[in-house]
Amino acid sequence: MRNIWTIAKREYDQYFISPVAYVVAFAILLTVGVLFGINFYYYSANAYQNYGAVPDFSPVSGAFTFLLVLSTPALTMRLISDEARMGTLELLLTAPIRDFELVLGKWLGAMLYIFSVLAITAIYPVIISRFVQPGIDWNVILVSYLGMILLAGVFLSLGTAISAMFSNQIASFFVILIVLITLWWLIGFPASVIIGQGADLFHYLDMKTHFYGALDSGIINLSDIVYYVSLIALGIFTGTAAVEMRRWK
Amino acid sequence: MATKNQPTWHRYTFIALIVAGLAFISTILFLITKGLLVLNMFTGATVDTLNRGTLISLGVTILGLALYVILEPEKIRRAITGRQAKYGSNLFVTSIAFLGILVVVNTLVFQNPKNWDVTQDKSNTLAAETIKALETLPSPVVATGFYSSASPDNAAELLEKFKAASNGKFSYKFVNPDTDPLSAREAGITGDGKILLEMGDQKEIASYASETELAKALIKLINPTARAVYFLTGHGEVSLDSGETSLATAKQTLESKNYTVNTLNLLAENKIPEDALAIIIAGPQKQISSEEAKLLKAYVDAGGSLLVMEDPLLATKFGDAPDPLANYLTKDWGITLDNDIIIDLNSQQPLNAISASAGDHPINANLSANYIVIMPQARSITMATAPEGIVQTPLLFTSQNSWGEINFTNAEGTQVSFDEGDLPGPLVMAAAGENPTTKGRVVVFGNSLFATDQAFDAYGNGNIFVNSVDWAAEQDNLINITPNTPTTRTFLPPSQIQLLIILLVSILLIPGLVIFAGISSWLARRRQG
Repeated sequence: MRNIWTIAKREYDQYFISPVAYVVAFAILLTVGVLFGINFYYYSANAYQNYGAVPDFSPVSGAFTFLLVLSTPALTMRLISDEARMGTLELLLTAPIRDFELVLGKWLGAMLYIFSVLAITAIYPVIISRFVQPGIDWNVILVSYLGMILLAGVFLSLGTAISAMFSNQIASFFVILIVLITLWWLIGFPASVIIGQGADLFHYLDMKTHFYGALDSGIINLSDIVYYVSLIALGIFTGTAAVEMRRWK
Repeated sequence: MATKNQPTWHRYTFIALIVAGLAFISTILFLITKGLLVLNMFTGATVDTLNRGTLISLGVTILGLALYVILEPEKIRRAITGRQAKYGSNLFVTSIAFLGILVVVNTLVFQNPKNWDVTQDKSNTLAAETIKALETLPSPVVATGFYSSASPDNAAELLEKFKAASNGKFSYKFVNPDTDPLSAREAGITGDGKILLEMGDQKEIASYASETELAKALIKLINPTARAVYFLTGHGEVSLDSGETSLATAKQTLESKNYTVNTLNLLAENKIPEDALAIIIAGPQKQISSEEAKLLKAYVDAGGSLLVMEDPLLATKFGDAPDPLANYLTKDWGITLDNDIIIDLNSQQPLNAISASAGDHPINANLSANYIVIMPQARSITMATAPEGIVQTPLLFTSQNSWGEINFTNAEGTQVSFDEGDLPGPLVMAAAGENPTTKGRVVVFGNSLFATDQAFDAYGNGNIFVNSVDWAAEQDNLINITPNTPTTRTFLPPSQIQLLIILLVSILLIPGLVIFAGISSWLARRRQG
């Protein structure tokens, strides 16, 4: 456990030494902030025509998940690739750390970083709630955050796994991007073409369907949680296997 | 190092492997598609095309692998015999086991869906009555949404909820009436966004995708037999035809729930129709005669149901003559209509009595707690100890801050106040009684105005009226299909200054701080060297 934590903390600090952390945080917070601002302005300007309709939190959560797809490759590409390239992976592999501890630690470090960014976005629902009588439904917001954390977990674990497979960061970057785009946008497509059980399968594999209209609307489906946790586990497992394979060489 | 001496083309041999891999993936996809085709889940291609595709991609796979083996015989030999092969097979077995577990767990949760609606208003959950109707579906129901340009997303979401709650008895599909005008015409659908429900040969149409509409249509499907209720006439009762003080909306609502609404003139016919599930006496201006009261008593004793809505004597032409119907209710049911008028200080207009609490009864079991019932000019009800064999329940109470004014003359011109002899609040506004042995039921309201057109849609008014008829007509499974009502949340827009600050914080300050932190950490590290 302590090994995992040590690696996670080191990775977390590493983010803030490199410009990546600031660039990604800036990109995410600027986009989310602008969307929130425009949305909030729109609702404020039209409050009376809309009979006091409450501003939605979904522009924030929706944009965040979208930006996560684009920023995960940048956040995870160097996690293990870089160690391999710099030759420090050998040191890690000979250290008294088990492979899964290494992968889990790297993943946790990236998660901590995303937590930090997510924590800042919590200001938006607080602002909305400040102007809503009798306040917004915080359960929906909390479940929405749970969904975003799970999604981040999936993205980052797959990213970590792929990073473990390549010694080249650029290769990692593009493979991660392709995998995430596939899981986020493409895999659900066959569901709209075919019908019956086959469609159910593709529908189930589509990452979006487990978030939109589900976790972001205050519904906790057991299958959504299991699906995301499965993918996180798959990522950690694949990453561990990839590190193990490096040992053989 | 051997690799260093190899010619450069060795660096590109992995391309053969990638080609083989891609071809293998497409082989699998072709096979999956073929499987779907055989199961009639896919109609986009013929078996021949798929077979050809499978063969070609399989061929490419083998060619790619063969090419790699020919180009890199050394690597292959090492891979098969070396230490890696041993580790590899270990890893292979673990991977298969791990993937197997993931697939099994995911299949299990997919087949046994379980979900929690954590929204405070349960806004994602269907009303209890809708779920009850879905659970008791006698045979499968197919819903067809006719949507052309309009996006059926919302309808699909709603229908999906119906499907999930139906134990597999409810399914749905969408048809585009523009591309498939024939099926729309066959179904008798005109216009866009309508949903056809079919159970066997029976059809019902929901005119738009809302839970209430769909549930209504569903209920009509479940209860195809006509159920008759009768409104008593001949004593100046509230009319059923349209007009401000009429029960037209109430009638319409009952009809939409598959009731046949009739009128009954007991004085003329002297007989209660056999198909009468309930008799409704809504705001008579004159007393019901003692003969009629006898007929009604016999009817209730034989298991019939009575819905009595009598206004304060002040608002009627009863005069001082005795009221046989009221006497019957007092004697047989222990429910007395008081000779008073409710003054409710909790209400903006003290003559509008507002329900402050509700009794525990099927009639208001599904009535949302947020819904009040408003009765303009109501009389209160006193409930004596129930006569033997009778179960009586007060349905609605006014608040403490109300009383039953009995001295009408004094009230004229002067300030009304709670005096000696007035009935202290909380007062009973409505009551229900049941005789479990005879199945006779009565529901008594000290008011008829609440169900008329001008007040029917106010808060829970229409709801409690329809629920009462349902209960009286023993249609318990139909009661209340009012979807969960959301908490009213109002956005109070910020002032110009507040808005400006919020925009500055969200668009400039937060991203700006990130940049600032980035630059300062960069500078700090540069200074350190």
